[in-house]
Amino acid sequence: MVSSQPIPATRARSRMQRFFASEFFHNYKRNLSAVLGSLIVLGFLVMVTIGPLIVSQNPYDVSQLDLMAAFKPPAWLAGGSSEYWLGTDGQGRDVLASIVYGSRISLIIGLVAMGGACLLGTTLGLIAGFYGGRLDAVIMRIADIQLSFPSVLTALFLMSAFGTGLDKVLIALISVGWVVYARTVRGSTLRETQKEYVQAARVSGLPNRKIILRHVLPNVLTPLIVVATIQVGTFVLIEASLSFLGVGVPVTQPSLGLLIKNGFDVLFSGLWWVSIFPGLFIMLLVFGINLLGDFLRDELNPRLK
Amino acid sequence: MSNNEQHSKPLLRVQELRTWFYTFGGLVKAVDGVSFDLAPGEIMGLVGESGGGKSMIGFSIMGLIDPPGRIEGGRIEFNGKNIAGLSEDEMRVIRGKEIAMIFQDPMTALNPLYTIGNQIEETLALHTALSARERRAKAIEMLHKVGIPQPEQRLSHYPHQFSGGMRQRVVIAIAMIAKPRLLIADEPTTALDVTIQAQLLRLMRQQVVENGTSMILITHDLAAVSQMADTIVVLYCGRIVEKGPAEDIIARPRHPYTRGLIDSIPHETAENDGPKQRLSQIPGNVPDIRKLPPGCAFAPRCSRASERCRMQDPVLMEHNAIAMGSGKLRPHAVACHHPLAVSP
Amino acid sequence: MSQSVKDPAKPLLEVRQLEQRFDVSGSFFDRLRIAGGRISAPRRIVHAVNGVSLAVKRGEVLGIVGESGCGKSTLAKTIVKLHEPTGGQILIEGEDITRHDFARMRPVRKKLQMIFQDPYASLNPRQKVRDIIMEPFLESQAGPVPDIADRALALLAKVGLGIEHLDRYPHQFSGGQRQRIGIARALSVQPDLIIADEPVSALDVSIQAQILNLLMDLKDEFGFSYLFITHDLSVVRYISDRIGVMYLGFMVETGPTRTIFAEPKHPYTRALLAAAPQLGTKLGPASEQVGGEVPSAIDLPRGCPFRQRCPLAFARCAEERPELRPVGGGQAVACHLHEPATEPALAAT
Repeated sequence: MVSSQPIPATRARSRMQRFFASEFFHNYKRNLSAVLGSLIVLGFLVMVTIGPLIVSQNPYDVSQLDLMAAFKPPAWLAGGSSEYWLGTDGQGRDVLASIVYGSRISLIIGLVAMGGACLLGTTLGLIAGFYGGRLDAVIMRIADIQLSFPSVLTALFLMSAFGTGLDKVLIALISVGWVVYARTVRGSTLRETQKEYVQAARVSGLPNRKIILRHVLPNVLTPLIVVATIQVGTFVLIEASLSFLGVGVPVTQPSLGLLIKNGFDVLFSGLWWVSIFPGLFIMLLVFGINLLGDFLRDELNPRLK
Repeated sequence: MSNNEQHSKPLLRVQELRTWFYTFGGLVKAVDGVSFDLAPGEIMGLVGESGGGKSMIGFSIMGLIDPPGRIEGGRIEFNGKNIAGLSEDEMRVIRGKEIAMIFQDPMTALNPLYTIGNQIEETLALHTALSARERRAKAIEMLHKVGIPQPEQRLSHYPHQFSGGMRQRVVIAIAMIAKPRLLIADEPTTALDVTIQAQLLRLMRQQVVENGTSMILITHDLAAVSQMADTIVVLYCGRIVEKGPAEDIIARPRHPYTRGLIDSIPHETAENDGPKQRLSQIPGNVPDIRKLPPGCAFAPRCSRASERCRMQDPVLMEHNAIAMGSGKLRPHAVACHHPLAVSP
Repeated sequence: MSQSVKDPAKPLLEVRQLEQRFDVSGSFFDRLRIAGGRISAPRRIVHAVNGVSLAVKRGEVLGIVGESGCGKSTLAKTIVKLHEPTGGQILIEGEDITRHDFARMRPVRKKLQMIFQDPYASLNPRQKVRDIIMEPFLESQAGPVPDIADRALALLAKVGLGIEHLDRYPHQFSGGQRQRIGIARALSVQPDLIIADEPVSALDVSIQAQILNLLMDLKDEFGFSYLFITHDLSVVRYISDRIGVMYLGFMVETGPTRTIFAEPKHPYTRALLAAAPQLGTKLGPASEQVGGEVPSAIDLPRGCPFRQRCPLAFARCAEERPELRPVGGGQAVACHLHEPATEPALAAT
């Protein structure tokens, strides 16, 4: 109903200014949960980048640890010390410092695994959707089988087969995570290749490789933003579960999940803070990511517009 | 029919209707001060190009304007009662029984999960006190009337088992079964082939004439409108630029936009077979309705535009032309500072 | 290859007995039917184009008209090899391209371009105008090309757009402007033949006239030919030198535009012309009107494809499929009524 007329040239305005004037930003400002979600995520990013410079100790440098300060409660409880805000664990590690370092490991795993899964899944989805036929059938049947197992179970199985380690965790997460991209991208690819601009590229004599990269790929990416955002949260949780079960990251590179496990043994001895605080931080991080993801889903889904 | 029009009260009187949409990109005055009367039994064509606001007039009458849109002002008098701004519950009583609507895509009007019979009988159950058996008989009769073969069997079929043309026949059956007093058809044949289109236009006209129903035919197809309508209303950018008897508008358009629309349709006389003549075209594009120029919205594309057109909004004024033959005055109104002369 | 030899007598495009079928039956399990205690897996074949022959001479506009599902769009897409034809031949300047693979099609692509129906779907929303319109040209060049911006600008000027449009994205344009961009893209390689698939049917009437004028101006300037696919009789009448009428994948009548409109011979052509709304004439009684709807292209009727809707059908129409035969004056009709042999048969019925 609204005629799509040329918008007056906005060349003078920078990309940044245009973003702040966009409908996307307008809706974002008015969406409380989106603002909250992005603030949480931003907070975590700031924490893991500059946090290690601020906290009082590196919890994995044994020389900085003080065994005398083991199992100190949080600062506001009796026996707590203002030096250790959230208390310490059995080796006298500052829980807050552990969380800062642990969040870093968790986020890096989540982001890198998401990137890997996205790359693998998108490639396979493009191939399946564009070429169709037997190739499509094989890829999608593998995806179906993959989806019929709970992802934690698949990851657990892979970890017990390959052994533990940061790289193994990444491989396990990518192996369970690519499917969602492959399915999304295949669907969008099928839809896009029906459109006339892809036919026009064929008539122009473009080879398939160029058609896929130049025409199909840029037009199937938008829905992936939502998938990727939510998946970082999912991966943080899966990794935490693996580490909690003892098949995740090594003890020298503890993630938030491993911190929970370490404190779990003493949880019922009244030393709750060692695992409850890392748990709360995981919850907060995943909550923030999901709030952001939900907003992006509403904004970027053309069917809701 | 036209004799009665002079005396009878209009069935529908739309006065200064304004339907606006508050979008992020700005205020869209989709309908901006539109007035017209529709007599009982009259067929009125609402024409214009995309963005003209023709569909929004139909939706406004049906009370189907959803946020960010709103009926900002004006009256819609149906049978003497203002129905603009009625509550959803009050509108539901009128919709279907008094005013029915047909859409371009018959699939949106039919529920794919129910049989055709269910859907026709549901309309009857809603608006009449007939028994189940009577409803079934009525549904069969109606399907027969709209030209669906073997109506008894077809009742138990689902929408996807019908072709596009047949589906639109079913939609017409549902729309007409409660004998509404007003039928609004929004591009009812645009999605269909020419041969099917002609069949359906005939069917619709026969149905409204039989029941004495008034009809608003909303379309971009000037030729289809000229075949069907008694009167034509031409819209541009949410406003009426010209309205009058159908033959007058087609044969003697007064507004440059109407003239441009008519001339844009490629029509060739049989003798003309030399080198192809250029079609006369309206230059430029429909302006962004959120940033309409001051004065006449058509001025930037109009060859007759003067300084005055760019400053001052033209008002819709009656330039009554004496109808050929009868010598009777027929209201023909145009909103233009420099209307085209009436050529004999 | 006859690149330099431009024999005016030889048609630019020739299509012989072209046939395009699609298997829509899906996988074996989709096809599986159990009926009456018997298991079968029948295939469902859509007969989209059935033995169509046509020729387009240099500088000529051939209009193909027909209703939805008549195979006109499939015909267009098969000619530019978006589909691999299942039968028949396609010749460009005498060169048989029917079985050309990707590499051998490359030089042919420069002669053959296409304009699409939907101005919203035919442009990649993520590409700038300059990249859209130059793509076919750049693809046809071996190495880097100097002065790309100048070339792009010249192209835009040809279709009535300017320098300010060069770096915009498709969503910033109206439907008519987008169609101009699509035309510029087709022009970039200076083709000999442009296949236009319903290029104006998605546009408003006033914009339609602009685009039709533009297409005619460009033809006059560059001298290329059009194969013009449309359902709109007034458009096809305006733009075409000759017309082919299609029904259910068959060519039922061909001839010079004027003859087709003045003396349509095939009952379907007559019905089509009678059904087209005429400005300023009231809807008359159903005289030449045909009832019913187009039958399924999966189960083609025996005999004449039109016989079930034809008011003049007789016994032979159900038995024998009529061939497209010349009837004089450059006109050809596929109808038993217009074969010399049937005159007595007609008299007998």
